Amino acid sequence: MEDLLYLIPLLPLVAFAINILLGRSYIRSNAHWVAIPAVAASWILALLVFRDIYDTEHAISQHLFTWIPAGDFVVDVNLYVDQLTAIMLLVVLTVGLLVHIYSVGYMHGDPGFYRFFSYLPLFVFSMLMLVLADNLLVLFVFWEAVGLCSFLLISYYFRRRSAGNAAKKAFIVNRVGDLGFGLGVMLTFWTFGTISFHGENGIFEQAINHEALGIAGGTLTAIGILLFIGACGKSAQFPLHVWLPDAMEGPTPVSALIHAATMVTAGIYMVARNYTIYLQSETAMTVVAIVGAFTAFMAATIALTQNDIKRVVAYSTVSQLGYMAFALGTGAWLAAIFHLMTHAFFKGLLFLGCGSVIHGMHEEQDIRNMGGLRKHMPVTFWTFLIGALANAGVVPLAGFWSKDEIIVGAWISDNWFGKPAAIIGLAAAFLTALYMFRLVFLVFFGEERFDTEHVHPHESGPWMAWPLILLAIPSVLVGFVGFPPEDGPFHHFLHHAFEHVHAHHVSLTMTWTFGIISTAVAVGGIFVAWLVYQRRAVDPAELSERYEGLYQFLLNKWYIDELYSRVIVEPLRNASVFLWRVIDEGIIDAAVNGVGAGIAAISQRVRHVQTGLVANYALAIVLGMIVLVGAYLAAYSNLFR
Amino acid sequence: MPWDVIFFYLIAAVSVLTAIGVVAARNPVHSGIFLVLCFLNVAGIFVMLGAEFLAVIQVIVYTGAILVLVLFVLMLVDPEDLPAFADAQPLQRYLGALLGVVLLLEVAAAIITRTAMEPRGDATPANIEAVGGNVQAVGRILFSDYLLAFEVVSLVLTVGVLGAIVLALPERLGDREPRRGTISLSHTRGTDTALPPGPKGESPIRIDPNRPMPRPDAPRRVILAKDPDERTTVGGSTRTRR
Amino acid sequence: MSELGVEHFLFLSAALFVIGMMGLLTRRNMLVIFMCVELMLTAVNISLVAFGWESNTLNGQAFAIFAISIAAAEAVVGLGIILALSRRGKSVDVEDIQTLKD
Repeated sequence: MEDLLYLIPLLPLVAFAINILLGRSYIRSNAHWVAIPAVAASWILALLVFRDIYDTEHAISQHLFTWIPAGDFVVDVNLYVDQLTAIMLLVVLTVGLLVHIYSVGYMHGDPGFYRFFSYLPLFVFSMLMLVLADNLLVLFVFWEAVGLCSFLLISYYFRRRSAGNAAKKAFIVNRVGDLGFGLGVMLTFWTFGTISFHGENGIFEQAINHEALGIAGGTLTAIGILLFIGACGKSAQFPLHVWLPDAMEGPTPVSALIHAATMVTAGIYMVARNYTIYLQSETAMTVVAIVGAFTAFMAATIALTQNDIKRVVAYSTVSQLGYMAFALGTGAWLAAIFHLMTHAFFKGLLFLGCGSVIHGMHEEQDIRNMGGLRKHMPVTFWTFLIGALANAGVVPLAGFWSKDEIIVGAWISDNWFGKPAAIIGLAAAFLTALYMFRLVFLVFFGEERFDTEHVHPHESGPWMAWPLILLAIPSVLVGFVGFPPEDGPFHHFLHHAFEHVHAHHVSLTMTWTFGIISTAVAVGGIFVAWLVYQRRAVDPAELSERYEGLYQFLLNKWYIDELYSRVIVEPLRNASVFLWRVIDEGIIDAAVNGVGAGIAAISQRVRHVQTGLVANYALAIVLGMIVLVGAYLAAYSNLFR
Repeated sequence: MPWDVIFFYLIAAVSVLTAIGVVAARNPVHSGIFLVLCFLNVAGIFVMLGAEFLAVIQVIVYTGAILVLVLFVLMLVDPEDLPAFADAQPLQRYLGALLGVVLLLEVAAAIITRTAMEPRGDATPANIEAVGGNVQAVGRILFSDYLLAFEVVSLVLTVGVLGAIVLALPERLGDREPRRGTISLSHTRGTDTALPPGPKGESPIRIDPNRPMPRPDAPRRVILAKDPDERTTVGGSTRTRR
Repeated sequence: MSELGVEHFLFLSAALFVIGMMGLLTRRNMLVIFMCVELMLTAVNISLVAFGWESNTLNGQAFAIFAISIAAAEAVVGLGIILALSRRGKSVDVEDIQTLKD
């Protein structure tokens, strides 16, 4: 299988090339017949690779080519697959394939159909190369590439001003994170002399032996924090999370694939990949944990108040990413990856369900105008319900196992922040259940708040319905690969990628305790949601009036966007305007135009020499002659010797 | 003071004064007379320099031919056309005077500080006497060293004569009026058919409805006329204008 | 100053040349300007002959002969132009020739 590794990213790339070059003229609305087989073929190859790794238990790699041969600094492009990569490959390709299929129905009739099906495989290619990368630089390149694809796809409806702005915001906020990432890469190279992960002189080996090699622990902390800043940008952690809700401007399949399942997990993957560096630095891990926990809580509070169906799910994504982050920070590496996997499935399912609802309601996205849809859209309802239950963490669905494991892992962590993180996690879990089922009750239950005369919600077609069903199945079942907790097949498999992690032994009592607490919290959240939104025991409108300040604070996303606007965007814009008006137009343009105007003015004056009178010209001749005679006198005569 | 120095100063003074007279005289004929006097004095200078042949040439050719020619032309040019003596532009006057003074100073400086040439040639007065005088000596050098220049000058003079004849030739013998021979093409409609119509579609010129418009490719009449505007009227009528 | 040297003749030549030049720049009548040109040419001839006299060669005189010949030819042509001009009714005032003005 080693020799065929290159096919896995290559096939989507070829699909992109064909669709983008021939799509407008020849392929047009048949573009999916190019993209889907390519992604499907990659998926099958990934399954084969997975089986290979599962059997042999050691990593495989394939050397593609040498990118930068610059003396001592040699950067190769190698494809490296270990257990972590294998899981990521499966996640990306499974959700990716199902989103491709779903998009056929969702984007049906759109004039840019071929464009969508060229950017989507391009994204899959970039993400695959990112997880297959063997060194930090190649990872960074494809880190940027997925950012680019995100930009292209968010602004897919490019004629909409809001879509363009959202795409720009996503890219720029990502860029801020990439500043940290770039500095981290440079610091890594400077410290270790290489950017390759594996190998005897690779980063990981050197990080483990850093004391022997004379590398200061503080440097490793700095590297860890810088790399995590990049992860904040990409995985939407506070304070760089602001782009993800706006990214909902893109089509829903894009939100499902990129902003739920894959691209946003790139940050988590990257931190997990670099775990040896983080192991050496407790400070860095604490930073990661604090940021993650805070994000998890903050996003959950905001999601309570949002009225756009996709925004609720988007903030839920941010919150779950926060879970993964504090799992990494508290040393529960395997739990983080486990949650990454389950989250990809149920969050992808939820987004595709949103898309189905939006499609059925004829592009309506405000949940205040929905209600009682379960009669009209049964398939969507049941799959969405499964996704919501999984997200809330109700046993025995997938989300329960992974979330519970994170909380246990945080609680027993060596890090001082472990226990606070676990408690925050439980609080956020309550809120998660609450807002998810607020969404479910408002959309699918209750009276129909839309105009029943003119709006007839319909169930989606087979292209859209089957991916929903196919995603609902792992949302239910995939949690069992991690059963029993900390000891399941998943853990045995992935443990090889995290050799230097000392697995904590978790007692059975603790497992049961936390399992019951988690379930209680989740059920409690569902119950409160049922009370408020279904039974109307407490009127949400009255609540929001009573706590007006808090409500506004949450509704306006903690005013973070406004803060950024005031502190960063406005001063930058004023500086730009100043540079433009004063310096560029006032000084530089004035200078250039001034030169022209000056020359014109001078020539206006000089023009008058041309009098047309012959006598004046004779005068000029005589003047010249006198000057010449004078020059000769000065140079050649005895006058001045 | 030796006599030649006295004579030099005399002749030089007169020539300078007459030269000033040339420049300053109001009547151009007076200027011409002054110039004649100046040239005669210059001939005297030439004699003092031992260039007798040149002195004679100066009198005969320069004074006797060229200046006479100038005087004749002065009189041929209608006296009423002569501009009343009005001073030139102030710029010309003042700057001209200034430049003259500057040039004089420069040349004076050059003359004063020059290193004198050694008499390196062999045309000492004794040798010239031996050859037979200045004329023979000049003739010798003219027909040996400067033969080519001599021939070329004769060519130049011939060309000059031709030019004079061409310039002075009257257009038609016996015809006192200035004549210009032109070819006047009879245009269709009196103007170029390539002109676009006006903004309201009107024709660029007024079309005479009585005159039939010739076809654009019709052969054009060629009219030889003295006055180029004589027979080309708008509309192509053959009414001559005076 | 007791001996007649080349400088005397050179000064004379310079004086005549400068006077001719001032007339050239100042007068308006084309024929008078022409006469000033002739004056300048003569001054140069004096200078040529003086240098030849100083160096005991006859080159200066030969040059001066040619100068006079060419001056004759030039006079003919120039005066012919002036005649032709005046015959066409144009004036001989230099200040009326302004077609080079932009």
